[in-house]
Amino acid sequence: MTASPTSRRRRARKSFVERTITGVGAAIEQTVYAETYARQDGFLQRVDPRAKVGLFALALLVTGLVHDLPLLAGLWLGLLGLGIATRLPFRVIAVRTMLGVPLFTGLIALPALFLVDGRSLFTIGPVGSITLTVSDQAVLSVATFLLRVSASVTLAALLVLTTRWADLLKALRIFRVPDVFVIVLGMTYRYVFLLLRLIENLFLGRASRTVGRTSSGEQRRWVGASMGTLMSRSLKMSNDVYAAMVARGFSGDVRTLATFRMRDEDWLFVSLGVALLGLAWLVDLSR
Amino acid sequence: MHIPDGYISPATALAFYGAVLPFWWAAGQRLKRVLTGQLVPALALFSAFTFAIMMFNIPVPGGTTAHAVGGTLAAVVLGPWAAIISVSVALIIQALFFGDGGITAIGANCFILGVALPLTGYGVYRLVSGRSDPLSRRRLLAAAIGAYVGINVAGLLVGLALGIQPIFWSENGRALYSPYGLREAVPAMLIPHLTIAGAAEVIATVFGLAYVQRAHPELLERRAATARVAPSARRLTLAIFVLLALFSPLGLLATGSAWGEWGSDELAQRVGYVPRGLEELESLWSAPLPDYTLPWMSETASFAEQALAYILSAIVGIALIFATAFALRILLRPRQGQQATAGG
Repeated sequence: MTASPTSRRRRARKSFVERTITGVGAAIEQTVYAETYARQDGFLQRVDPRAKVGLFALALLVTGLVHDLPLLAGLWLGLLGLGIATRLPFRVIAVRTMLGVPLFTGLIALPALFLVDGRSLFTIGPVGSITLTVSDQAVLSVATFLLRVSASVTLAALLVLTTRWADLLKALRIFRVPDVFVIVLGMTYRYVFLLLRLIENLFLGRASRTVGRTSSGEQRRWVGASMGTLMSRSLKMSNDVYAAMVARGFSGDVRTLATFRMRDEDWLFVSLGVALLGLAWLVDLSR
Repeated sequence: MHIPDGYISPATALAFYGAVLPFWWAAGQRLKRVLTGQLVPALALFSAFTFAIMMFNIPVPGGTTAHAVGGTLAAVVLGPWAAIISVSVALIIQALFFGDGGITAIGANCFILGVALPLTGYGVYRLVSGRSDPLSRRRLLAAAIGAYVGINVAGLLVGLALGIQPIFWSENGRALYSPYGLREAVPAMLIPHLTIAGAAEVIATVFGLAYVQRAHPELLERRAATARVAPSARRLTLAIFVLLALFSPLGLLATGSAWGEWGSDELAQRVGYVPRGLEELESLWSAPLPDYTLPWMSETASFAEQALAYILSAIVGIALIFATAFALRILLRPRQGQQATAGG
């Protein structure tokens, strides 16, 4: 195939610089939106984060263990309904739970249709010397895989979209995650955005300075140098941050304020959720 | 490369959580001693840096771009224990807030990318670099080989984790999780890691380290001074390869030849699961993944004997890798005359 001038230009436009800028921008945008939805008034947003994290962990486990195909489909649809009930825009739920990982999984799982053995449903071909056979077990395997991944991704998306990140981190304590670890996670999350901004500026600066093409050797040296810059800046920053913490009375011990309080509504949410998930599991075992 | 939710069974996920916890604990203990009060801000910034590294698109030969993990780079500059924690924290944040990688699979992703990758990469780096000057070119070569081996060990582990799913978790021939067996999953993971992902990791590590050598040599010299923070590279590398050798009988599951001997109907069914329509592709796979049926073993050998034979052949292979590494060390040893200049 010959590359037309337009297609070549398009390829040149999508260089590693633009790709990185787009990726960084998308990451920042995604979290900003997630935080906006988490601040909205909705039924899941109001639930105590500890209750939500605990119940969603159980739900992830049940979603992981269920064998029955209709049950998996029901779980997934139920979660989508939950998303709409908690006033997340349908477009956001659709993008988060059908594009992204599930779409990628669908593409990955496609060849499995022809690779898994079982009772033959239909055949394609022969094309040349290759005959592709699709079996009933293959269709079932791919459907199970896709539904399970979609349901799990929906669960994770619902949790992140309805919980503010600071609350989510605090709620990790119910899993006996050590305080130091929670604090490190929280601080990392904060500084990730600082460093992402730094990358964005580095790459934007390069994009605006660059005219024409550069050699691949130069590109690699530049990427390496940017990584090195980033590393030295973060090491220096870690010293500065430590000094600032010491100046504010940090002694090495971590103390936090636990301000969550479980309301009756939260207990209702947890008990109903546990009952439903337990029922789903029982139904699955009985099949 | 991050395993999403639903790809591996809860049992596998739990096993990986069990495997990664001791490493987190050990790393936390070591770092607490070295960093004392500075632990929290240092780890947070290291982790944010590792997260940022994963956002870079690296131009790879051939015109494409790929992301790097940066685990080996982090291990070389920050030390292996700091690399374990910072890559793990970066992966957890990706899973919790960005939907990259599953929440149930956090243990698996952290063990593979956060523990196995940096430790293997660092072990190979130390083996090849020996006692050379921290600012020498030999360190760059060592980091390149380390990064390449590290990312491929990670790719292999992901392939193995996915590949055992249909073997252990199938119901009447229906795969319950990732549907590809070892002979599809392992090559599917290894081929891109041997090529594109491997190249991206090597480029990121070498050019990143070269920059640090040039612009911030004090970072590497300080690391050399506190070398005792690192676990013994030789013991560590040995431990990882022993682990890999113990995993080698998985090859038996891939060929399916030994499973008939178990006689049970259920297992026979699983053997039958190995795709029949793949004959065309098999000749293709057999090139990167040499056929592991051992020709000198008799047809009647039991499963245990075959498993032992696998472990033994893995030991032979690993010994050869070690021989190559030591040969490289000897070949790259600075000659007597150059020692003075290299040291200065």
